[in-house]
Amino acid sequence: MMRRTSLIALAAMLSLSAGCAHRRTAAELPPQPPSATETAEGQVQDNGIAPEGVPGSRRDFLQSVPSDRIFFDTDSYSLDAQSRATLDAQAAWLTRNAAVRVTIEGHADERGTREYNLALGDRRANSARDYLQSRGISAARMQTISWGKERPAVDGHDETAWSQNRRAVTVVPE
Amino acid sequence: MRGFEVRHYLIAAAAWALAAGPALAQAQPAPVQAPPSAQGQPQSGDDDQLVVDVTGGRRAALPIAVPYMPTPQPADTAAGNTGALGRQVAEIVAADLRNSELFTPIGPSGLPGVSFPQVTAPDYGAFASTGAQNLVQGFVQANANGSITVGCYVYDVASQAELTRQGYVVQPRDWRRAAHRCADTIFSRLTGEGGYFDTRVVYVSETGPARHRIKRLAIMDYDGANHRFLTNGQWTVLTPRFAPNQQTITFMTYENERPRVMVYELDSGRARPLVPGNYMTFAPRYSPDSRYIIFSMAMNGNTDIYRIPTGGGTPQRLTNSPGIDTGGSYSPDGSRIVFESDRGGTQQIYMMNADGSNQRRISFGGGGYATPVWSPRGDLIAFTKTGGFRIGVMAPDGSGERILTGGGGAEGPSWAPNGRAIMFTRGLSAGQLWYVDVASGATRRVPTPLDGSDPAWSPLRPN
Amino acid sequence: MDRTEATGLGVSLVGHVALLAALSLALVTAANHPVTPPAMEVSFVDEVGAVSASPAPSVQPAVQARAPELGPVEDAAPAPAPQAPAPAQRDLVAAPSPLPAPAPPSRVQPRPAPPATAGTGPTTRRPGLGDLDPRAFGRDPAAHAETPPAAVMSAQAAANIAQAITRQVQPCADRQVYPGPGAERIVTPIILRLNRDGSLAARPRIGTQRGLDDENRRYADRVADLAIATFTGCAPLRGLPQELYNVPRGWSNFTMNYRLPG
Repeated sequence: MMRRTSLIALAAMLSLSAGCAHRRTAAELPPQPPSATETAEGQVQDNGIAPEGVPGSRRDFLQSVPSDRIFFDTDSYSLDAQSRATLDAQAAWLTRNAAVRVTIEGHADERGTREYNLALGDRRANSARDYLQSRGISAARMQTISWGKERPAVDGHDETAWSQNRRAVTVVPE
Repeated sequence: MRGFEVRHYLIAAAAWALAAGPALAQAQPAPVQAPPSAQGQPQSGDDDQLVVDVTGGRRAALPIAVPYMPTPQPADTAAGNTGALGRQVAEIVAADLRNSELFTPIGPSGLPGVSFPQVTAPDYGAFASTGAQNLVQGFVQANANGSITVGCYVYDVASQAELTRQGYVVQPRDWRRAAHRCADTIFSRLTGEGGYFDTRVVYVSETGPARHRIKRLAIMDYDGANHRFLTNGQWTVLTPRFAPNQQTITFMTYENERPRVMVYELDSGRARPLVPGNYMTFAPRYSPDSRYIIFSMAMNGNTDIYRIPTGGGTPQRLTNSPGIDTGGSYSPDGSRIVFESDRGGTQQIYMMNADGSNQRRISFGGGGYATPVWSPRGDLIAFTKTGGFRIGVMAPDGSGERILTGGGGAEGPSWAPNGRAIMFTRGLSAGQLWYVDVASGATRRVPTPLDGSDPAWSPLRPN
Repeated sequence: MDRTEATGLGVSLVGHVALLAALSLALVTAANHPVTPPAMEVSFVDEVGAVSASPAPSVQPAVQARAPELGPVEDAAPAPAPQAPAPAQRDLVAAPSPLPAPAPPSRVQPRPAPPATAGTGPTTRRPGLGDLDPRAFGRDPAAHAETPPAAVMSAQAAANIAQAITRQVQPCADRQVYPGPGAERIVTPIILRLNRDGSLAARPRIGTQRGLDDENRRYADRVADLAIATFTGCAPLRGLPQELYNVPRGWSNFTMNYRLPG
């Protein structure tokens, strides 16, 4: 009885959702995948838009710095020596490409409650930004955004995955 | 001599009568039935009456028979024929009672048929062999003006007595609500609690791989019926909440990569940002009178709790610590707010007055605590225990902590309006909705079309 | 309720029924126990009643016995009547309690006479009995002051009856389902009036519940339901002794205090 009703309800809901009209914006865009800035750690992304190695491009950034991201311990937002070294290199590149503005994303692993992780990601993004600012990068060039645990880099449920998801990523526009 | 004897005899008799008369008057044989006033305080060994002490009972689901509901006159309505509706109403009532984990419904299928006259004069003998201790009867009737009437009666089988009855007149499109309200009447009469079946749930419908999760705002009846999406999934949405007056929903969106709190009007479908400015705002919750929304705002790496009128205005800061303060929830009387803070080093539950004063920690049970939510009954605070991710409850002074779920992966509780059940998310990165009964700890999955997270339960819908 | 629970419940119900049947059998045979030394007393009562039916037209006024305690008499009366009243006084004290002879004694049944004769405990003085020596009937006068036990609900009989009732309603009590936490603090008295066959003579009445507080008040009505169902589900009661039906504290009308365990 329950199963039959559930199946009928499921079929009805799926058919309903197909015709569902959203209400807020004029454009009815299909769901888009998130912007393809980080499909794997540190890999060079061939996005087909910017020519290879154009100064100031994302490709140039990724080729020039050891990494576009730093990592954190659980529940932590402090920078270790490797993080600072990475950020030093990023700061140097940003100094050479003074027109570039960046977005710094803060992320957390899944082992935290949703709202706390939003705040923790904000802490991590600001930790990186404050350090870059201390290296001479103007605050006006840097925006931060926290994604909490909503955008894991690695899909997994062990420390290997978690450690790669606790990160702050410096995103250079393409 | 003779005179003396008589005189003394009279004196003695008079004295004796005065002394013994009242005593004699009371020394009548005690009546077989003691006066009712003596029943006020029967104790074992009461001299007036035999007293028998009986103690017995069990913690179990209550067996209750729910046969199909007849119709006095089959008629077609905009919701279907009343004969079919009578069967479907009974099925919804049985499903609701089963969902609560407090009842074992018997039927509707397999039970004897019920004729319309029997609805108010049950054939108890026909249900005796089912083992049901209570019996539900009802009917569905089409009215001349197009509305539908659903009648609902509850009986005690052993005593062969009617316990309560209720009738509901609804528009055809709301016929399921009549069934849920019948279930609420049954539930409240047989448990002493308010019901929660005529309610809705707003939540985040999820699908896709964890790294590319598509999240859409969705609303449905608490049992999954009448499901519809409110956003199209283009932007991630999180943590929706129902306004107590059920006029708006508040939630957090990443639209245009500006994470912030929105207010969505259910009637018009329009949504607007709640807080001016560019800082990230999140974790919204309504005040009990729906006039305010408290939320968290992250500014330069620090997150605090603020309050703003639901219609917009100037945010008023409530907390100002260097730690992360988030996840506020009002007490039902609106006088206090519980929230979580890591100002002491780990996530713990704090309490403050609604104006932000008198902030003090209340969780001391060891380990971390998050997402505190005050029960609508005011007697409990639900939370997520971060070590192991389990849902628990505690008294508002922090005592009496009780963990409700096992197996890990649970977070984000939301209370049913009667304060006896909780819906929550299970699955830290790919969630599903689950339900737990607070008294017994019985859990079940809440069916949704896709995966789901961040459920928020509405109050009972207004009549 | 899953399968093991249902099986266990079924087994326990069968066990309860079997125990109930065994105990009922025992009770039926035990019901004859309020035994019949009273039979002899009943006949004695008849005799005594016949004798005492007419107050002896003795010219010895009982008040004579008081004469010595009154103050000295002013009248220079001749000495009072001879001391015949004095032995009468002693015998009056020793006279057995005359059980009034209402309807039952005419039948002189082995069953003890029911009515509330026991309530009239203290012996009354009947002039004219003084010339009877109770010892002539082979009975110690002192023993006559006792009331026949089977005509009243003694503590032992009350306990037996309570146990018998509890045994019969316990299976129904055990079936009742907790409505919610704190309900076990509520004690519900229900006033039950029964017919001689153990069935309900009137709808059970709920007395004032005890143990209510702000937390469990919401369950009050429901616990009252459970109290009534505990009885109605196991009514009619069987095998209760008829001779204790209509006595004071008899089972024709009793209070059952119901509560949930815990």
